[in-house]
Amino acid sequence: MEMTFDVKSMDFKRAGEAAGKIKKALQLVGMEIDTVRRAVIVAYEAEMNIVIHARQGTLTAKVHPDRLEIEANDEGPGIPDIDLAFQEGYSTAPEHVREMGFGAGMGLPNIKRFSDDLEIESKIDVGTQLKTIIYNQTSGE
Amino acid sequence: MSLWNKIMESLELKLLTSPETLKRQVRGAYCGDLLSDVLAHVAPGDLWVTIHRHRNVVAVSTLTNVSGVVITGDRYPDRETLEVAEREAIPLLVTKLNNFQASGKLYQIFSEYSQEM
Ligand SMILES: Nc1ncnc2c1ncn2[C@@H]1O[C@H](COP(=O)(O)OP(=O)(O)O)[C@@H](O)[C@H]1O
Ligand SMILES: [Mg+2]
Repeated sequence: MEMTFDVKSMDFKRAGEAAGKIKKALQLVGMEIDTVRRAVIVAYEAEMNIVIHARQGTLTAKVHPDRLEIEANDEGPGIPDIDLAFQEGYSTAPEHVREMGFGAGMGLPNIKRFSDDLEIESKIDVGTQLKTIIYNQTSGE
Repeated sequence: MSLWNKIMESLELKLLTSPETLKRQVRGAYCGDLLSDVLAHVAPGDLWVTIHRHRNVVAVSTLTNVSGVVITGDRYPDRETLEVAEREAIPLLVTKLNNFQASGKLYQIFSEYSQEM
């Protein structure tokens, strides 16, 4: 099973919808509770990064019996320094977004922590591609 | 007295969504205003204590299966946020207490509660 959702920049009304639909689908196919929880965190953080930092993009979930792949592809400014972006607390989110509780600089660290495998490619002024794998298992993070 | 009632009384909570939204069991609580932190640390069934009152709070609540949201500091969500909460069956409760005071009261309730069990 594969599903893709469009994600728009600065659309805080629909923010979280894509992650929510992925969650429902994973529950329907009977993925482990812990897998669903980790997938939700990864999907929501990836979705919010498109909403907050990019122009537009897509969030895709590919569901296999043993694992789940969550991908985020966007057109946007790209990430100049990936190591820096993965540091906890580093954020370029604008003030009005921080006031809402976003922009803590914990999104990419959360994605790393709650996924089993992660690849990221980014080109300045072109966009960012994030690929994660989450294995369907009950144990830990 | 039910746990919900005890919490409502102790924190002087006002429920803004319909009583039907209070259907989940409260298992504990988590306090936080950074959405990424809440997402990573809140447990299903927790009551989420926060200063935020915008609609993305409902989105995070739905994703994490919290039992309800306590909005502190006498802040009220707008109509739109209430509508989304109602639709998603997430109870929104307000209190005049601040994050610290509300969390302190919850901490006390849950320490007593776990002793009773
Ligand atoms: N899709 C993206 N496009 C451009 N920049 C991004 C993207 N995702 C993350 N970044 C950059 O990496 C930083 C850290 O991201 P993250 O850890 O999710 O924290 P936050 O989103 O809270 O700022 C962002 O502030 C931003 O500068
Ligand atoms: Mg982020």
